[in-house]
Amino acid sequence: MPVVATAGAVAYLAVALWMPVAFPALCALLVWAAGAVALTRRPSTRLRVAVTVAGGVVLAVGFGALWLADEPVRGFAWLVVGGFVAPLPILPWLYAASSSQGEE
Amino acid sequence: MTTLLLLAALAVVLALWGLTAARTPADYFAAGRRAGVWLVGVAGTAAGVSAFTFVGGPGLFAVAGAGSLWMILSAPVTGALQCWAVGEPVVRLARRHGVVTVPSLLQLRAGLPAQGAAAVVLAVGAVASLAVQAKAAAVLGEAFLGVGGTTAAVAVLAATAAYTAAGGMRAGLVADAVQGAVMAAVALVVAVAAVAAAGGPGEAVRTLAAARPQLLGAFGPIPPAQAYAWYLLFCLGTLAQPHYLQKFLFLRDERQLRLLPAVLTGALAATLTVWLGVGLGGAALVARGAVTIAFADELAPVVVAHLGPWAVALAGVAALAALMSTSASFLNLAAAALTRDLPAALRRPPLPLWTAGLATLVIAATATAVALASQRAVAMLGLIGWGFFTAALLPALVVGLAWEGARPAPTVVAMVAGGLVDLLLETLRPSLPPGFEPGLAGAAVGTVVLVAGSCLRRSGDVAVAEAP
Repeated sequence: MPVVATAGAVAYLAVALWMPVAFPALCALLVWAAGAVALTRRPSTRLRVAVTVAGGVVLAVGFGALWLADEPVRGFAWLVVGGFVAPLPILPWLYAASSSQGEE
Repeated sequence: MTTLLLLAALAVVLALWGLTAARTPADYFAAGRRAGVWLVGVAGTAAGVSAFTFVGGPGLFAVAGAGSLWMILSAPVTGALQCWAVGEPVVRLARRHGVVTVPSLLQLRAGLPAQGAAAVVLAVGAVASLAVQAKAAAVLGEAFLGVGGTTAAVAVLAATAAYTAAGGMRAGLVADAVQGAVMAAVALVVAVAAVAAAGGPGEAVRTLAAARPQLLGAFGPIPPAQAYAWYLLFCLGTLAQPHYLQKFLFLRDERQLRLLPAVLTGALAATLTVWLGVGLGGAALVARGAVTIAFADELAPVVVAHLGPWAVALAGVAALAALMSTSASFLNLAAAALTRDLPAALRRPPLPLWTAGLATLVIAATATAVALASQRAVAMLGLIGWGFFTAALLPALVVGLAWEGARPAPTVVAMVAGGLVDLLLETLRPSLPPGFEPGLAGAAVGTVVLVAGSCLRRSGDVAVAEAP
């Protein structure tokens, strides 16, 4: 936990000040790091899947947005559908699924 | 005026019920610790969503376009993230130790100084946030309800303070849940109506693509680094907002957490449609010349007026609900900090419950006075918001609660350092590079201070222990 937290904090400062192009990767790494911490507290196959999927979604949305930054309609559609609407049910469902597995 | 009178009547009824319902500190500060997932989920969303969502969000879309949406892209993530990172430890600690306030959670891990520091951070931040809510009530009263700004600010804060002072969060939770349901329903209706007025989503996007394409794309006119930083700030910041964490103290048991992300996410997503719908539809209407605005924050009132009197009335009620639910939580948090956490940090017993009611009224009056006295003061206080709580409390609440190696002194220093870095950087904001968010930078500095300080103190403890 302390290593992950410190690495995340230093990485944010470095990316924000010197490597802004690495922001999408930083966002995904932070999701995976937070998930790794959660897994140490509640080991669960579904939670591992949830964390992997969440990081992947963040990575895809982040780099996809950069790819489509200058496309007015496609870029906007990617952001609204891929970044907001589509992921809405995923994490709550996976959280509920991993909770029920944890109780068994 | 009719709306305000109805509001006052409902507040009196709720206050009278609250007087009989809230008899113990657990009732008053933690809603009796008997709440289920629906009540906490909808009320938690109501407390978290302020009037900014209804007015500032669409206004920001008018100038930042798609870039503004990065602030709300965190919505699919935050419900589950909160439950994973802070909800589970908070519910466990609260049930095991009978904790009823957020700073007393930190006392369990980092001792009385941490509880005292958190109480000060919370009281200052809460008064600042309440002053901003009062100022927003003044603006919204004039825009939506047709009453004077001072009348609206005093009426909204007085009504909220009345039921919160009398019934604490027993009354506040019920009110928040009703307000949250109203907000979500109205947001959906107004958002759909605004997009429909612009010819539907496809037509609205085509209009903007032709007239103002710079608002579209994946980032609008915002630098990508700034957009990603907003995303991170609103994802991680949810873990440090005291009015969010407070709701975990209300749950009747840990099993309620299982479905909480679904309720939180659903309610939040419904409410946030107003940002996207009124922002997109309104910007298209402006581009088409159907409505005109003098400044960005005028977009929501102008679009709602364009939709008709029914929309003005609904939006006014929803904006009031947003203001009151957020205010109720901050009033109760500040009252708890002053009457329980600060005395505890000074090794004194908590003050009697009636003093929390009195503190609630005094805090509401102070915040209203500050809001009405000086525009400049409110602008400065506005800085002490989401980012300040993130900077000051994120390291202590996430790392401090989860890591047993966290030490008391570094936890306190991390809170102070994080908060000060945020405030300092906020004053330098125009010259900061895009993506360098003061709240995130403060939290990063606080995290390094907490971890490094704890490791150093631990090695010092070992050295002392090993000394002959």
